[in-house]
Amino acid sequence: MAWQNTILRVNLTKGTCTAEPLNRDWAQSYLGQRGLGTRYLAAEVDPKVDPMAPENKLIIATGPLTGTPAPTGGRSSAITKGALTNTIAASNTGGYFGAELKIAGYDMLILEGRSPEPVYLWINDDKVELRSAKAWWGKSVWEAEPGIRNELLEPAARIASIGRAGEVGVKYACIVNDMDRAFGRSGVGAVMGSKNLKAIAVRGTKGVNVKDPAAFLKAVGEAESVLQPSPIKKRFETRGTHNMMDVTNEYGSLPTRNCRDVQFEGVPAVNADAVKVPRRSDRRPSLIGNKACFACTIGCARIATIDPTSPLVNGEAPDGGDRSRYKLPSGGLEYENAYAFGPMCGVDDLDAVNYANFLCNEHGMDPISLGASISAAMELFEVGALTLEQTGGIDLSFGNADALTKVTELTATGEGIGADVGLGAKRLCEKYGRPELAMAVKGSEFPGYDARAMKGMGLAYATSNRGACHMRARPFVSDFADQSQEGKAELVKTTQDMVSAIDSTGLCAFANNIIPPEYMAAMVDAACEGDWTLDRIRETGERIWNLERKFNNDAGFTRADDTLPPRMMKEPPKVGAGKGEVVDLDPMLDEYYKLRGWDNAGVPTADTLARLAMSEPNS
Amino acid sequence: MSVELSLFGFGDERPAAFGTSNQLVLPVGENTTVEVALKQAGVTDPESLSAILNGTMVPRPDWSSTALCDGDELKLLMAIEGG
Repeated sequence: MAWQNTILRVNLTKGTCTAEPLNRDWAQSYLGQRGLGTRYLAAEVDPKVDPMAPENKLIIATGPLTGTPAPTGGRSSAITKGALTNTIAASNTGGYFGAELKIAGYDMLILEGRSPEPVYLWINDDKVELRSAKAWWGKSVWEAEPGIRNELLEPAARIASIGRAGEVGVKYACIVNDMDRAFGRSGVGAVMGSKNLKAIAVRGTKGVNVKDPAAFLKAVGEAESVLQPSPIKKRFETRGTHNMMDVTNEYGSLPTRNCRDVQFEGVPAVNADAVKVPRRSDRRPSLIGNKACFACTIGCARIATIDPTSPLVNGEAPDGGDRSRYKLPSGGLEYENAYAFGPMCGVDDLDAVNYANFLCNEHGMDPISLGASISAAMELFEVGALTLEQTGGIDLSFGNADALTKVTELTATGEGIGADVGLGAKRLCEKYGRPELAMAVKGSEFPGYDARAMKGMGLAYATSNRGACHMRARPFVSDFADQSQEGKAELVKTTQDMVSAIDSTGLCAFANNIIPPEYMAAMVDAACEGDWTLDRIRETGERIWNLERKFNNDAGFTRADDTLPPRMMKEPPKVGAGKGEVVDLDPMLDEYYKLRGWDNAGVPTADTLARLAMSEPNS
Repeated sequence: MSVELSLFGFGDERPAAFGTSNQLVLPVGENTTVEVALKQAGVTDPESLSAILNGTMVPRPDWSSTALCDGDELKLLMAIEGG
């Protein structure tokens, strides 16, 4: 119940598709989605594998609540060894694709090997086949998704695909579903591209059963009764996460110009108010609406347009096509993409920021990593480590909106300086001899929170199993209220565990901000076999975190990788709440390891593994 | 005496006293604390709030003991988790 008890294994080398029973013991220990997918990956893939080799596997996993009416129950995850980070990767998406996969009867897909030719996978309930994608290779997400749907004569099919970025090996390429939702971080799209897999199309009509339907509907109703009147829900709906930009800017934790600064003077031009101001040209604002993912009653996703008179949407595009496609609405600015293309690059041009984001939707790139990689290139340029000749004549000064849009275009197709920017900030800065300028941890670029004013976030970045990430722990509110490092290790540890569990249920982390965990436990308990108390769910989250850590340890990651860029630990900001402060990481790390039951090198002890029932090879 | 309150990240959740503006000049008495001023301005749901007084963050435990002076600038930040 809740689980479909079926996985679909697709061997791309052999061209075979085989349904297998789900390991139900593992489901009881790791729930689903991120946790269960990681359990399969850890069992089947050598942690030292080259992420782009056929021996790496890509797992698309749903959670037990995916495809149910549980509020926000539409999530799924892509689990693999990340092309960007070489760590475990588990990238989470919304939209409708994951629910469709679950309703088609599958808990997860295991994609292995490498196809000799470009293919796409077509899942129509029990009918599964690999089809030639030669016609779609070289095409964008925006072309492939409707095109494949038309080819299949199945207008209700949901599709996840890679764009040009995944084909050319951009290290932070995404898998995009439903046109502008994405398995976003860690380069899971590059892994998919390395397998010559262009897309996965799915149509499901089976539905999802739960253990106790009456109890489940009661639990769903109770969760909605908390969610609906919440002011936080309203804030997500009306202003989205973009709302955060004014807060981080005022607080002095808005990464600006590659973290040289912590406040951006151009915020009023790119914040959540700016997207609501009617343009002179057509008297319409950039933001034209919001939308929701499967089973979501929040609706935080944004729909945006670019000024129809902008040169960015008129004339000929670099690919020879017509730029008028960018006049159509697409996924708009939320906090992270707005931060990455705006303040991080010093750009205060709303159309340029929106355009860069549209290109991420179209070609499948993580806007956080792309923006932070461009900002690293800008700093390399400003310090003279990257010359005008090397950029192909592009003036990469901070604040140059034209440079932002041109480099984004080049990165999507792996051309010119874009090929280097597509390596990610870490490899880019290493290549040009200034590794300290990469604002990244374990190769993953910073999200929009400067750690010097947010110490808990600093520890969360340093210890995240997929590199710098703002969604692996929840120190936000504490960090905005408390400048000290006291108590942050425990907060980061406990929230990492809880988020790991939520990411394994099929629910959205944003719902977790509003619905108390007891309510979530009630939904899981009513849906799934077994007794799922909140304590058990928390312990499951801790088990997942330790499994991810063990994978990374076995891949060669050590305490030395649990760190922050030197700028965070040596260069205090001159303004804001973190004025004069840096992150003193080691004491927090010592306390964190102790709380986790890890040794001083950051390795889970035998006692910890035994406590979490992880000692046996098949546990 | 009075203090100037500014809101960040409140969106449409401004307390009624602010009207449609994010700024409010609030008349207060002598020795009014941050906590009292917030109540007086109708700011509810302080769980997600940060207070910055004249550019310096006031930790939440100190709200009840930090007195305001005439002309002080108190900025209120409403955080939202996620991104």
